[in-house]
Amino acid sequence: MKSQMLKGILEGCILKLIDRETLYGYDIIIRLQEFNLGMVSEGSIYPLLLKLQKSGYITGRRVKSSEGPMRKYYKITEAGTAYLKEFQMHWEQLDIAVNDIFGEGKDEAARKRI
Amino acid sequence: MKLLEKEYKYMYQTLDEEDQMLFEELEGIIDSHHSRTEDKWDVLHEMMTHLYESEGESFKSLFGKQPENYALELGTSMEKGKSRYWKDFGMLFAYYTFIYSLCVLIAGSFTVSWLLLALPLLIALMIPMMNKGIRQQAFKGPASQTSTTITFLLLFGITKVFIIFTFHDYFSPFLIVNYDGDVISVIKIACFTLLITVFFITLITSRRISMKFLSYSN
Repeated sequence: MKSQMLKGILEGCILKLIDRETLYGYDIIIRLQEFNLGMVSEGSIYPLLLKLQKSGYITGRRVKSSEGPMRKYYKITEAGTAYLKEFQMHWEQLDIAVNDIFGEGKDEAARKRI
Repeated sequence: MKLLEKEYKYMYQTLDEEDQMLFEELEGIIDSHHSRTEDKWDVLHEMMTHLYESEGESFKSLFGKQPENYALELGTSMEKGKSRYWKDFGMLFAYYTFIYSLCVLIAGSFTVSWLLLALPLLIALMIPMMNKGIRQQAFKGPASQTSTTITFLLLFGITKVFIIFTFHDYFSPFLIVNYDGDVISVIKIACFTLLITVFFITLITSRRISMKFLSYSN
């Protein structure tokens, strides 16, 4: 998938995952893989997390881990929740429009075959 | 922040040579953007922890085959640390002061021209180009920075020529001080100027002072 396209979608996906539960970087990647977003490289997650933090949508807190180094856990903020609602609304509109266009294309091809 | 840096360095030692080099490259690109030290260690520690916890994985298999792409993104999206900029400024200023002292010794006269006021401006212009061009090429940065590098090198050379020309008779109307003494006196004055410059550079670049400066400006 084109990286620019993926970036925009990922932002919303990461925010949604953090909205569900407090997560740290590694957790986020595992969750994304669980949702079949395995094409996302781990490296691209960190600039996005940084961007979301800078925008004030999430906050990070370092917690000592018994297993090794400290982990940074992310939590959604009020501004993040508001942005997530907005994202979801835009996504639903886009999803309907794109599906309509692609659905229409398929119908026309089927009609031609008949 | 020291703790993050300490943990990062501990984990860094456990990596193999290739992964160490990739982290160094990442560090270099972030540094070249004058990112705040706190932000730098924050992100690097997080990425290092990730690699450290995923045993058996290599940097490239985990973060992708082209780390330069997101390294540049990280560097540009991080907040800029002002003190890092001043450190580079001090370094270049010290270099040109040395060139100026050499000119004083060769010309045998101690001259200060109004034209030298342009020197800090030229240095201020040079620093972003130095970081984007030279450093990124040294770290095999992502984007081709040839034009930036050439502009920096041109500016670097022009500044040196500019210092030399301030000693020329043609620019004598701009002179503030023109002391034609014997060589020993000139050396004494040059050393004195050098010491004063070093003192001011230390004052500007020392962390405590720059932090105070930043807190006043905020």
